[in-house]
Amino acid sequence: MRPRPVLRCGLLLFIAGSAFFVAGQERRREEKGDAQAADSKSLAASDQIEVKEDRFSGVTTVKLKPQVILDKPDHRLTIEVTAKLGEKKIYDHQKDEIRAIVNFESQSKTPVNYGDREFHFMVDGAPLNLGKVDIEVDPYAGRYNKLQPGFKIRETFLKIFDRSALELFSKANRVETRLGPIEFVLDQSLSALLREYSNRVLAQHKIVKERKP
Amino acid sequence: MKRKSLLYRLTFALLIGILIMPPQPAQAQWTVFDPAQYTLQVSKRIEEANRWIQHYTNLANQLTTLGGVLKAADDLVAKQKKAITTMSNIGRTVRASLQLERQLRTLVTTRLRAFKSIDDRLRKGIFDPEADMRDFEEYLRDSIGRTSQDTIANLERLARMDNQLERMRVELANAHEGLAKAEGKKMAAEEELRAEGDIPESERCAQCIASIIEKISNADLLIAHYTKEIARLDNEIKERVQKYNIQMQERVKFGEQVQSMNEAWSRFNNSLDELQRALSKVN
Repeated sequence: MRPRPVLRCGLLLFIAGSAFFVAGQERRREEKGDAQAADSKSLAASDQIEVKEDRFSGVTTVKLKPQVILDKPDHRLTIEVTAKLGEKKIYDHQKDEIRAIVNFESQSKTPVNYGDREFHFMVDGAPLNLGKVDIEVDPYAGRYNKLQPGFKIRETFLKIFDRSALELFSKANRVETRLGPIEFVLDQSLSALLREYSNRVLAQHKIVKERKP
Repeated sequence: MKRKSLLYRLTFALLIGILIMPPQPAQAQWTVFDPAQYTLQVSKRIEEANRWIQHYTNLANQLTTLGGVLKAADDLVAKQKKAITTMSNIGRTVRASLQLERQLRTLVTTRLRAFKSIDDRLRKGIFDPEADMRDFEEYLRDSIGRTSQDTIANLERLARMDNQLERMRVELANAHEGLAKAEGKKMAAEEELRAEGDIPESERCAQCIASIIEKISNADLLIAHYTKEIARLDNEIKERVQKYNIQMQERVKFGEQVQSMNEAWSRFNNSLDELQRALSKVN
């Protein structure tokens, strides 16, 4: 016995409606998950920046804990920024100076080609050239357990962010970077973290400057 | 009835005529002489004559004594005041025009010389920032029409042009980077040394320890070197900035001179207007 056409249409409508309902529920769940992740990231941002003040010397250290900026299976690059504020200044022209030391650590499974070793940032389309980096291989990384599992080479280099660089990062939304031939865009959460860190350093410098005669 | 005579009639008419005639005032028949009135009239005449004599005496005095002549000259000068003012304005206008002409000539010559000098060096392929800076300073010093605010902007321009200052700043940044690297290396080496100390004695690497100690020692040397270098560069930058501050003060002084010149210009224009007005009145 063949089903009637009306019944057939009803059945099709029911199936299509169920499919849409399930898809909607999935999307809502995903959105909720994303929002929760964003919240947790913003909460994590405040945990990633550490401000310490030495009561004796009056020096305030603002530190951004190591953050992974490039995460590939065979190459991982991390950044760590430290700014010391309120150190003794002799001359007037030094009082407005800020220097944040940016330590980079590269871990890889095979030797990395860094090309011309020129390190560039592009912050919201504005270029920031940090010049050539002096990359040093750590010969005792394996011996002193500094290597992450599966990685064989540890290299380090550092650069300094001055006030203008920090001011640039303090408004950053999209940060792109290039080291020789290696080019990548920083994650949104990491850009926000750099932005927050820069703002924190600039604000702290202002506080320290006003405090010191 | 008896007819009256003609004489009667005439006599009667005459009597009536006399009666109806209006009375006539009485008139003296001789000239009257009044001595008191005559004396008064004579004294008045004498007084008037004396007044005239005094007036002419004064006039004679005015024209024959130095004081009188000077007074007369004063009056003459006062009367010609307008003409004198006009002449003064003409004189000032001419002098100011000549002064401005001299200043404009100097300005144009200086600008041309400064730019020609820079151009010559560029053509010859001689890169001499110090000389360029000198030329630029000369150009700024001798240029007119700039205000004090412009002077501060000039300082910034000058600082941008100063390759030596820029070089010092780059060297300072490099020294700070070097110092940070040396401090980082020292910290890493100290950590390694501690880690080496945690390793059982039988597994310790003497060569590694020696290498770490050498690293620490080198880092210490580098820290000392960069600290000294940073102090030197900071001092040089301070001196350079101080030099610019002095230059800035000079520029401010120059700005003030420019302002006073502008005021002189406005005064000159006022004089010119006044002169034109005076001339139009004369015409």
